[in-house]
Amino acid sequence: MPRLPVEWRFLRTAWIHACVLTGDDEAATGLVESTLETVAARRDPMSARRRRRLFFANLYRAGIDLPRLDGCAGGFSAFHHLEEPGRTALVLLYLRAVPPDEIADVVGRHERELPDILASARSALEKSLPAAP
Amino acid sequence: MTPRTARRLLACHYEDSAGHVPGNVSKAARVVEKDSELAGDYRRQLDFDRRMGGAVSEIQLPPDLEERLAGKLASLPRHKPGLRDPAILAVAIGGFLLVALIAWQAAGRPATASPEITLVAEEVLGMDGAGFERVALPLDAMADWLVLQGFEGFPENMPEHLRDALVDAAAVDAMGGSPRAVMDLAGGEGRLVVFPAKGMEDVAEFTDAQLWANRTATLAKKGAMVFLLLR
Repeated sequence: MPRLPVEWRFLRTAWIHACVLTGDDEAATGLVESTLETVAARRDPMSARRRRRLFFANLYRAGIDLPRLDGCAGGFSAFHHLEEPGRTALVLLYLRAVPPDEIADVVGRHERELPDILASARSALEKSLPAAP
Repeated sequence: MTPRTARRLLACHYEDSAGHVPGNVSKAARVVEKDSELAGDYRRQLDFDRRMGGAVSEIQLPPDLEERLAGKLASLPRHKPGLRDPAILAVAIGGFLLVALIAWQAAGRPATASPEITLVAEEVLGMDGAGFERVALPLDAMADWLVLQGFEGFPENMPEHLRDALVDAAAVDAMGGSPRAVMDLAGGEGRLVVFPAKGMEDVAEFTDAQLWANRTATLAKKGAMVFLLLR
C-alpha cells in the first residue's frame, strides 16, 4: 500500500480541515486533491513548512464560500456551521496543523486579530452545542 | 505583561499533546492567575479546548485516504528545474554578471599610471608656453630640430598612434640630468613628452591610463626613448 512521503503527511490533517469546510467526507477528499494539484503545480522552491502553510491557506480559500450542509454527520458538524475565519483558525489550532503564529497568515488576518477571532469562535461553538444536562 | 495582554496570548494557545508549555505561555498563565476573573475564564477555555480539540482529533479518516492521496501525489507531474524557472534564471543571470564584473576588474579596467609617470605628467603639464618655440612640423621630422636643441637619440620610427602627428610647438628641458622633449601636438591632440627610457625599464606600456579625473596618458617605448602622450 503506497504511503504518503513524510513531507506530505500533513494531508491527513488537511483532510479533517477539508471535512469541516465541506461537511462531507467525499467532498473533503476532492477538495484536498484539487488543492494538492494547485500547490504541487507551483514552480517556486519552498520549504516543507511553507508548503504546508500554503496548502492550508489554499484549502481555506477554496472552502470559504462552500455552502453549509444542514444534515452533515460526524464529529465536525458543530465546527462546520461556524463563521470564518474563526472556524478555520480554531480547527487549525486544535489539529496543531500549523503553529499558532502562522494561523493568522493562513486566514489572511493580522496576528493581532487572532485572539479575538479565536475567542469569538470558541464562544459561537459553545453556544451551538446542546446544553449539558 | 498585563493580565489582559496575557489573557490575549493564552487565547491563541492550545496545549501540546506531550504537555509541553512554551515559556511565554507559562509566564502568561502566571500573570493571569493574579486576576481571579481572567483566571477563571482561562480555566474554562482549557476545559473547553480539551473537549472540543479531542472531538476534532477523533474524526475518523477514510481507510483508503492515505493510499488515494499518495496515488494522486505520485500521478502529478514532477517539476524539474529548468532554465525557464525564475529562480534558476535569476541565479544564471547573477552568475553571468559576477563573471562579467570579475572580467572587467581583471582585464577591461583602464590601467593606472605608475607614480613616476604621474610625477613626469605633473611637471610637464605645469609648463607654461614661455619655453616653447613654434615649429609646425610632422613628428617624424623633429629629429633635426631636437638635435639643435641638444636632444639626441630621437628615433626615426614613431609609435603607431603618433605616426601622423603634427607638432605645433616644442621645447627641450632637463629631467634628472638628461634632456627631455616636450611637444604640443596640433589639433589639441595633447602634449607629448619624449625622454630616455633609462631607469624606466620596469614601466610597462599602457593606453589611456587614468591620471586624474580629466586626464589620461598613453605610454609607448621606441628604441631607447619613452613616448608619453598626455591628453
